[in-house]
Amino acid sequence: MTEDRVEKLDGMEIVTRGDGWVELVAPNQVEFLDKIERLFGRLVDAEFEEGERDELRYALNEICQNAWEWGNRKDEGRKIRVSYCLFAGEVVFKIEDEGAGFDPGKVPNPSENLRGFLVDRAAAGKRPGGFGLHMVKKIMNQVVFNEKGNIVILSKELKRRRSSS
Amino acid sequence: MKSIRQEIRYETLGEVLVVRLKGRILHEVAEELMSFLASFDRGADLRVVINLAEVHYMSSSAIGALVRIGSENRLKLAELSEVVRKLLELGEILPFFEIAGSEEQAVKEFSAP
Repeated sequence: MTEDRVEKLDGMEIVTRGDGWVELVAPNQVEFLDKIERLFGRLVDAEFEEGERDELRYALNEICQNAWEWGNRKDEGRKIRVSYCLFAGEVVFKIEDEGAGFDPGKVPNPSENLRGFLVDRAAAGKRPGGFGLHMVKKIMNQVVFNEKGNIVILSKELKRRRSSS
Repeated sequence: MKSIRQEIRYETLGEVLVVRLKGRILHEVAEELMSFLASFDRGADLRVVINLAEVHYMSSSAIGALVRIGSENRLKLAELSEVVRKLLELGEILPFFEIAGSEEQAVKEFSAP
């Protein structure tokens, strides 16, 4: 096993671990969301067909947006950590924010009762939205939160297994 | 009528407001569109056509804004790009919207007596 390698890139810290994980630590600032998507998008692009590639980028972007806005509450002093590992049959992401967490079980599926969902959301004074997590769950094979709700693991099966070469 | 943003163009065709969105549609763009629509008199029976032919990305919050616009106005979506159609299908909200194959058709349907 090789040693961890730490690099600085464009205001972010990238740790390439000897066990195959790549971790990126970025400031909780909106301009870094695109940078995160671009960096991990490039890693993913080589492994997936075009349609799936776009979906994966979308899922990652939505979760990072949530981390920035709802998790870290747009606090620029906080950080977002995104880790990525490519296994033989799947790709796994771990996204972590420094917020108080939430209960994902209380997030409604908007498509089940769209009118009621809109009314409830407007009554709570929330901006339009609430579709992201639902869409991410449709894109990924697994979406798992830690108990606190500030870390989420996303996994997606590779349609074609990687060659061992 | 013209927005300062490159992503939004407005045009009034008869009594129908046509909105053409372009590029990457994030929450801020959708927010501007909602504010613009909210400036109309609520009793004015606003009919809105949103052309999505040139949209290549739409965040979930922008999709949420589309849903809210659809719940508060008479709305038709026209010329959905492949990306937008796929996202609305993913969100399982495509059936919520009235969809027109072309902007012209949508305006015509709204203008019919």
